[in-house]
Amino acid sequence: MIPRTEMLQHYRTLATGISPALPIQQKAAMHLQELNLPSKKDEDWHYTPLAPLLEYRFAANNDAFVEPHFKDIKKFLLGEQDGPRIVLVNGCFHPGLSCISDTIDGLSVGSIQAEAVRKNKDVTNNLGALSGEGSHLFSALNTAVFNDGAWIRIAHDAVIEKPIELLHLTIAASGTPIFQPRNLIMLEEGASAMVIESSVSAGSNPCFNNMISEIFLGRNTGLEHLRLQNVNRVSRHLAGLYIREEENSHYHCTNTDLGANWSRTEFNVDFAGENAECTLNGLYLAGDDQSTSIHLNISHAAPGCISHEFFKGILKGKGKAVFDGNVIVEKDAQKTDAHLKNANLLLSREAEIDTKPVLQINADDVQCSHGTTVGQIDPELLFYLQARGIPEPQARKMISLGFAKEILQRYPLPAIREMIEGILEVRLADIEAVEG
Amino acid sequence: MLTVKNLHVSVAGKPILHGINLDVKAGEVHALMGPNGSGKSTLANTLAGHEDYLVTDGEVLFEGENLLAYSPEERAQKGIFLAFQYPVEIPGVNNMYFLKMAVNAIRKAQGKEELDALDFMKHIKATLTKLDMEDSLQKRDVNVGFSGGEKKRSEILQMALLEPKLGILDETDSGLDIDALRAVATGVNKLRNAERAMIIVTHYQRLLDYIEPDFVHVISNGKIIRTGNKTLALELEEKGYGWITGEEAA
Ligand SMILES: Nc1ncnc2c1ncn2[C@@H]1O[C@H](COP(=O)(O)OP(=O)(O)O)[C@@H](O)[C@H]1O
Ligand SMILES: [Mg+2]
Repeated sequence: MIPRTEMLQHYRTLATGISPALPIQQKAAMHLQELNLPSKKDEDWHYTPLAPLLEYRFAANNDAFVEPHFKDIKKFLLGEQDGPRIVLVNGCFHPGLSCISDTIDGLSVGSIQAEAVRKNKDVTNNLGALSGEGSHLFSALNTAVFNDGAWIRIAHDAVIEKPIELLHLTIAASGTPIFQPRNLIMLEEGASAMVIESSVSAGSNPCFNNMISEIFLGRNTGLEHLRLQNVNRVSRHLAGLYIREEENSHYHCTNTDLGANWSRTEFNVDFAGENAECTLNGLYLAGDDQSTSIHLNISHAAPGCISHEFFKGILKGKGKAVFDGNVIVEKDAQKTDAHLKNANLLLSREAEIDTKPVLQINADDVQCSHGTTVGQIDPELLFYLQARGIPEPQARKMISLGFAKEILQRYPLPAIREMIEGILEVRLADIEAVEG
Repeated sequence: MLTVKNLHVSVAGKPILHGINLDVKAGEVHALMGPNGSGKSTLANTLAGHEDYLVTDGEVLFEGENLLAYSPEERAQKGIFLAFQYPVEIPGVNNMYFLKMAVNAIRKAQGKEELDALDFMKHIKATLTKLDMEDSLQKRDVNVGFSGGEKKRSEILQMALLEPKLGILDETDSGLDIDALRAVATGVNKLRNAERAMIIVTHYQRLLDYIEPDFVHVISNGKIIRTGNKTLALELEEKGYGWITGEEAA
């Protein structure tokens, strides 16, 4: 393990000697020099395992990699063949694999780096507006020196029928690189769209994906956000999502984390207008040598907003998961409707879950609840299937997949549901019997 | 086909069955009757291999083999079917998918070719027609939100699809209205044949109006205290269990 001080110095060095395009990046670079590595003492990081972050010196990667072709990425695609698509390879916009024809009315997409250079107002005014300079070392690092990413804008009242696909592909040809994509998604008043976002790897080297997405939802907008993380099992994956919802906007996200040696997904939702709604559905699976953390910061600052968060996790082998869900209802946020739920299925005695749903209510006229469960496969269900001739390992798999279904069926697109089911089938094929 | 000898079973450290003897031959239908808590489900679950039921003495032979040496799935694959008194709900597991997995698991174990989606559809259609049932339950999750009657009908459909050698029906009649009872009984009668044996566990004589048993056994306090033919069931109905358990005590 690399000593913490050395590691900190390493990350600080990554953000020096740069000449970023945006003032916020400069600020983040300076801020970063004052930040420490996340530690157990930070409330937000208390349960997240930190040792996996001290194993490698993940560094900016300048190595050449084999150029991917369409046939290499085809198996990862979930949208329509000729639909709008942005492919980021190692954090950088890939024009050859992306499909950003201007033929869809009301949709503008492009490389965030290119837009920053062109002084696109969306980027210059809004990048960092939700994330700030960075609340921890890694978010500051991304803000200071992000590689590139997707810029997506949906115009006033535009309804984009075709799903917009955003594929993060990492190819580590050598070494232990860090990739830092940065996305900006803006929906103008009355707009609606579906974004499918997946993170996958083509190589077997350990990478650190440190990504941030900022999502601005104007009044009366609707965004369906379908996410899947299935990077290789030696990589580290940190995704920070920042969502601001104006009046009467709707954000529906269904999120699945399956891959990575270490992953952490942070949802920061800020209700900035009345009667907005947010639904977060999540599924995570962690097996041997995996840890995954979900962090929710849902801030009900405006009255009459609805937020429903429901996350389910399956832990097998020595897998470990953290669910840290925080919903804060501010004093003036009357008529808030907030429900926070987390359910976990432990398939082995060595699996671990730390679940901490927190509801902080400062208003009096609200409907709020939270609940959490941690359980094992019900032996009566198992016996029922066995009594029908189904071998025990297969029966365990069926029950576990059934447990995941409740979340999977919330994906409003069969392609992604089927892909995840396919991965789960394989990952759950070797479920060990829980020893007596 | 099935021989139960001096079977003693404990649950959670408490002895429940105290020496059950039972001999079931191919083609026979045995009714097992007795008051609540007498050990009927304990016997049924023990035969199916539930791990909570500990055999402390005696033996069970199924087609000459020591049944107790096998796991629940192996017993099912060898042709034992238990229709549960309380079928469990399995969320997220589609009923049709479950039925196909079960049918193919058993076929595979018996060295038969597994059915593909199309052949399975045909198998299920033919079975539904034979049982005079609708197929409205197949799209739902296993037993989830099923009414009492739907659960029991679903158990009968499963039995028909899995074509066991020995069917054990644990109070498949309880809680059913007369129409559902008739539907279940019709199903069972259609599944009777010269190779298949059945043990029908029931609390009331009612079901036996529709399914005529070859033998009737009365179980009380973990022991079979009386064996007879169907007239025994009628007598029981008339005089109540007290008659026979009292007689035993006297
Ligand atoms: N899983 C169990 N755990 C504890 N006690 C049980 C269990 N199953 C059955 N018993 C006990 O065994 C006895 C017989 O029950 P059971 O076989 O269900 O009777 P029946 O089916 O004839 O009504 C009862 O006293 C019951 O409480
Ligand atoms: Mg019973």
